[in-house]
Amino acid sequence: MTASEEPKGEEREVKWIGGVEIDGAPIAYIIVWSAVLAVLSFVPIPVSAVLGIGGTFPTSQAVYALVGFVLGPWAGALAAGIGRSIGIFTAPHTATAGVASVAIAMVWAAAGGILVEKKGRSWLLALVVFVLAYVGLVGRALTIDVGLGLALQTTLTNLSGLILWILPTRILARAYIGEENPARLAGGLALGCWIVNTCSHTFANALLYYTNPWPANIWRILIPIIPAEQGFRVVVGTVIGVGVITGLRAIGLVKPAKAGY
Amino acid sequence: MIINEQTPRGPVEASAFENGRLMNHDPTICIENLSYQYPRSPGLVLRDINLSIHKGEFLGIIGPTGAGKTTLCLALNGIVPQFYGGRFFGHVTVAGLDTVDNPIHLLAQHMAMVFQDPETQLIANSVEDEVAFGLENVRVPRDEIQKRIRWALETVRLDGMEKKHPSELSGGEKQRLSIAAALALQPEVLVLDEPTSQLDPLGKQQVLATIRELNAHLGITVILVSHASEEIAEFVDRVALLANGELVDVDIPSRIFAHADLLRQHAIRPPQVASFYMELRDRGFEPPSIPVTLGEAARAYEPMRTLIEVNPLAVPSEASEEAFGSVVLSAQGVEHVYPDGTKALRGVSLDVREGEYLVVVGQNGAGKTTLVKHFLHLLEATAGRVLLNGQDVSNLEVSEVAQRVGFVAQNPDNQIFNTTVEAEVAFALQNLGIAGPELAERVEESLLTMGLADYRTWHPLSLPKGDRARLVIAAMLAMQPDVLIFDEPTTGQDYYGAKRILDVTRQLHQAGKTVIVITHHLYLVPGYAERVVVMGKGVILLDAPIRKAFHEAALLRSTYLAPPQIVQFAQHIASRENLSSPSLGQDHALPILTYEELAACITERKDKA
Repeated sequence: MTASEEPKGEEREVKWIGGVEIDGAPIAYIIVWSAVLAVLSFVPIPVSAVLGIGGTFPTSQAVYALVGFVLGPWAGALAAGIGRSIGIFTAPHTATAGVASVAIAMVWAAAGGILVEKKGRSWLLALVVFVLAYVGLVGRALTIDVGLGLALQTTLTNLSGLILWILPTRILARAYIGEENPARLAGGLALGCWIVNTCSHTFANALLYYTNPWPANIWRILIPIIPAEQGFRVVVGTVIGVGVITGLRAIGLVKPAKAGY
Repeated sequence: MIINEQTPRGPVEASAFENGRLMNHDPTICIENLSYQYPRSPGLVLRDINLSIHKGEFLGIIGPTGAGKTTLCLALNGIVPQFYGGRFFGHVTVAGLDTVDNPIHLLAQHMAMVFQDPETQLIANSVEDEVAFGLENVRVPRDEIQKRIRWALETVRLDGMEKKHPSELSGGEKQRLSIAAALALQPEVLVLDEPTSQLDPLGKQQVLATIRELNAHLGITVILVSHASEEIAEFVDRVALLANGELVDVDIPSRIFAHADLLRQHAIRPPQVASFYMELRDRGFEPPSIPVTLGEAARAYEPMRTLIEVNPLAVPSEASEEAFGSVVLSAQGVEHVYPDGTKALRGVSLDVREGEYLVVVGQNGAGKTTLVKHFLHLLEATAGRVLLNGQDVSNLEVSEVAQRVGFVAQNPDNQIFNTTVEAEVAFALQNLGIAGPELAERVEESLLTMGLADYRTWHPLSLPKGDRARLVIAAMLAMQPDVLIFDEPTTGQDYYGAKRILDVTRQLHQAGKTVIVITHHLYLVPGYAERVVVMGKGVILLDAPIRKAFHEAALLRSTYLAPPQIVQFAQHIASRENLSSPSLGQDHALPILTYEELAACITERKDKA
């Protein structure tokens, strides 16, 4: 705005007043995302490491990270929890993990929100949770004679997420998600989705494996399937994410306080 | 043809205004030095606006597309800036509440708003729940809620549809429902942002008359944004003209609409009767005033009668029927019953020939959109069949039909899903396997034709609604189909935007394409269409050349249509001068279509006193 364009009126502080919001995200956004996730629960993608209990994962899993990027950790977790809670009843054919999938969805979206947080140490807390989950997963595998070599090979994808979470790649993903350039945005989303999905998947697997330990021969089969599954999630999440974030920017709706875009 | 001699006015008489300011009334809305910039807009979209809107006033807001009318409305209920963010300057108070310092839900207790796009505010699972929602939120007693639901739905002609899901309604019916929900609240301030753009003409009159009544009897302050000059002139007390985010003028309608230069400068179309009298003035006559409503026009005509003669022979004769090609689309006894039992089409038969330009008109819910969806194989006929170049469309894939029949839907947003304007236009072509220079050439040509070349890298949703409609047309043009169907393409467009779209349809028609346009904007059609199909309640009521169809006032009224204002005025003149067509009667005595044609019929009386 040039000096000649300077308006006569006093500039006012613009804020969202009195509207119901959670962790800086208007409740309306949380409701909309819950509805989207509930609907996406209906669509199964037939690639899953959880072969023993279904062989598919709901498309909603591909956007949990995105929900965190858009709403922030707490609001994202809430939206994912509500959406998945509805989804397990309305679309039980994709609810292979049952009620546990609600907790998994919430952790997943919270991880997305934490990844794009600019301040705070929540990422360290999340790291501790994921490392413990990874140790728990591999440790449990060893107790049923899977063997360390095989366990490490099978969980290499999960390990990559932990490493990328610790390295500056997490910050790089956050920076690119905030970029206007669609190519960089897509890159940021892809990297961010990979990190969040693999870490959250570690948490999910640890939880499920504790109650449902697969034998060693299944671990062998999973070596190529886990990265493929994560690849699908990243592709779906990135495609939807680019469309959603560019659209949200275009219509100019007020951003949730902890949004990463 | 009877015209009310008294122009209806609400509680605020024109005499209450001095220099466009309402005297001796308390302001209910005060806008002081309001400027606003959206988070991503390059500059201010509203600039230094000062305006007081008084209790019980009916204010009209006019201005070209992109003038800032919607943003101004949103600033009144706090959505701007609280929801959108951005930079906000100055102060807006509504019922004494500052719109930046008070939450939207508090402001909403004083103000109801009908948004430009009704889809954005329908949230309930049934029509009656939608109306009840706002009332429940402000804790209106149950009995009163039930009364108001009945009243509001009757007012907007949705009675009998209480249990329907809003998504099952047509575009116009959705708009009616949004209006009903707002009316039921009977708020202190009612803001209507192009509330009647999708309504049939008599529906518009009914809704606005009800709003005028509420304004008069309950003292509700009404703010109406509209591109329809005739309705603004007829119903409002004052008009605010916005252009480029600035308030250009505020005055009573007769002064604003008589200001030809001002209107031309800001691309505003005056009411047709005002244009007629301006044309007479340009031709050397001296009308006593420039009237802006039909009633005023009739009164202004009386003293001129001794000075002028009306010559019906000056009306252009009906164009001789062109030799069109073979039948390209044919509906044969088509019936359609929706799953909820609604009979949308009842044995419709219609042939469309190659190279024709056809307009389909009719009331909301007449079955117009349902009919064209059969042409596209988007719906299966319950009975009867539809032929495309002799082939039964039920044997064709939708994608095959789409290559030959282009369709621009009523709501352009339903057809937009890419992230840039250019990608949107290219999308269908790429799916047809077109690539390289041909793809680039076709995309470029379409963007240039629709005036969107400068926006190629923009996200489609960042364009105004009018431009989004043009984008969908651009995407369809790139496909180069033989038949083009436009469903309400001019909704939400200002006059010049609408003409620009219709000019494109004419170019396509002149290039040999078959064009079908569904519209309620009858005044826009002359000069474009040759044939008019009038539909009502699932049947074809009339299929005639435009000059005949536009003067069938009674038949048009039976399907909630009204001839354009200038046609009604010509019928009034014919009645006053006792003119009559030997074969068709008085309504067809002056079968003009435009104000220029009517002015050409007026000559100086040779034996004038």
